[in-house]
Amino acid sequence: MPDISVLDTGVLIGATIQKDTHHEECIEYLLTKETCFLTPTVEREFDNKEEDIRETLSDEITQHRHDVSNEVDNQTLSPSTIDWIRTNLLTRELNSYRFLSRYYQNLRNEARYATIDRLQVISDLEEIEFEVWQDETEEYGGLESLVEYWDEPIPSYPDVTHDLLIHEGDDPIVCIEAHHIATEKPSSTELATTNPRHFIRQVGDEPETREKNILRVTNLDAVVDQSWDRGS
Amino acid sequence: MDRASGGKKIIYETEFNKLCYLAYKELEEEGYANEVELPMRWYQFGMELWGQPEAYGVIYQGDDRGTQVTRQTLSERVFDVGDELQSAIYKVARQLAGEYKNIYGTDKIVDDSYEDYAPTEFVREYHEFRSVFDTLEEDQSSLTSFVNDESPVDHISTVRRHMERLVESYPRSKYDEAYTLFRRWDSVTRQLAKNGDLAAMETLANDFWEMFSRVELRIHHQIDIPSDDQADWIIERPRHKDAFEETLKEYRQIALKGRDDTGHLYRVSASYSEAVRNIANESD
Repeated sequence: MPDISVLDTGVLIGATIQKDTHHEECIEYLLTKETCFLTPTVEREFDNKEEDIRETLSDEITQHRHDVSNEVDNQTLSPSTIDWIRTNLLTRELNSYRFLSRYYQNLRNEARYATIDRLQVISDLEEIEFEVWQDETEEYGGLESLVEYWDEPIPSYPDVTHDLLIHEGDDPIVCIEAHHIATEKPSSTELATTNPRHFIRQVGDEPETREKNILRVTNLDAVVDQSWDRGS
Repeated sequence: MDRASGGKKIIYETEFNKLCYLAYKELEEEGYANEVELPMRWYQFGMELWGQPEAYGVIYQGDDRGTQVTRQTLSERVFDVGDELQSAIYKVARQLAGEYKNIYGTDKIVDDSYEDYAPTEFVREYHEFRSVFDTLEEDQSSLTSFVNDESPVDHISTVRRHMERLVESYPRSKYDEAYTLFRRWDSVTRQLAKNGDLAAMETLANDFWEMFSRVELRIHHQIDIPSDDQADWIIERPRHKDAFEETLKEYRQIALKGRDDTGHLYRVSASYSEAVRNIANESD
């Protein structure tokens, strides 16, 4: 397993936001790796995206809480009412679907032997929507203690850029920056992502998977998927 | 009013605005709505006159209690309206003067105007919500005389009752422009209530209502406002929304700092946070 990791923006977001879909996998990854590098592009992307993501998640949960307030009249929630909420007031398209669904699953189990008060659910959702704003890395000494910022100059690698299949947004730049770190560091180096669609899988009629392509044209030793549904 | 109270009653701007609106509503019921032409808009504390006070034959003067309204001597020409409307105006004026001549302070007339004429259930509920701060302040001062420790007083159960009514009564299709900000304000307010930060909650509520009045109320609920002014208010909407967004960010940080970590929801996070903590301990 490579000692050095270069993080894609999604991994960093996953690690810092507890309610991000990939949080569990990303924080675990950061805590187990010896050295995690943040490239300038990822740092910039993170600064741009972090607040939007927290806002989106928090907005979604507040909206869900409002839906519960408006749609559920019962003062106590039976298992069937909890199922109704899960089916009718949650959709898989929500970024918060995974943990809200898990919350209701736990609540349903609890409802078999205890009374679930509607106001308690409202109060729980108030807590969840605010936890979104907490920086989860603070518990482990803050982001600075978990990652290293790569602040040395990064040259362009036109040949590598030319051969890379990945082309979406800043993704090819992140690949080049990771390639540079892998070139500079004697230890083996991997790139961690939560976006297997861009970094790992085969896309359309491209001749090889993105993972194979990255490993073939860069000095990286691995591309690892840290998304919650990896392998599915 | 001056005559009815024998010159004893001082009228303040808030009361003047409400009296004008109540008079308008009475005249509207009598079928004179189109002839009155009194530009008014719903703003932070109810309906208010729009325009310079001189146009209504009054002068505004500040004193230590607020803005005092005194009448100017008016020429007969100002009352150049039809006989029928004129007598209707006199009748309504006498009726309202009789009703409010012995009532001092503005609470009753403000409550009456909300009770009878709040444009939506949400606006009426917000007026009810405002009174929560007086109740909580009294609770807080009586509690602190008994409680010696420094722990904040938890206001959430009182605040939540009002916030739930606001959520249930919010007419999203009508006030769509401010809906996202309402949702975010609701979220931050509940956290401030949990932290017992009454002062921050009250200031934020005032800021929210000012923004809401500018972005929604004065645009949806107005009478005879010139179209140029209405157009200006619509153009100004994004500026007021952005300003409140910045305010919300500040208060969210205050709420985050004051947040009691022990209040975290273990039912949700326990399943994976425990695993993460184990890893953290192992790596020490």
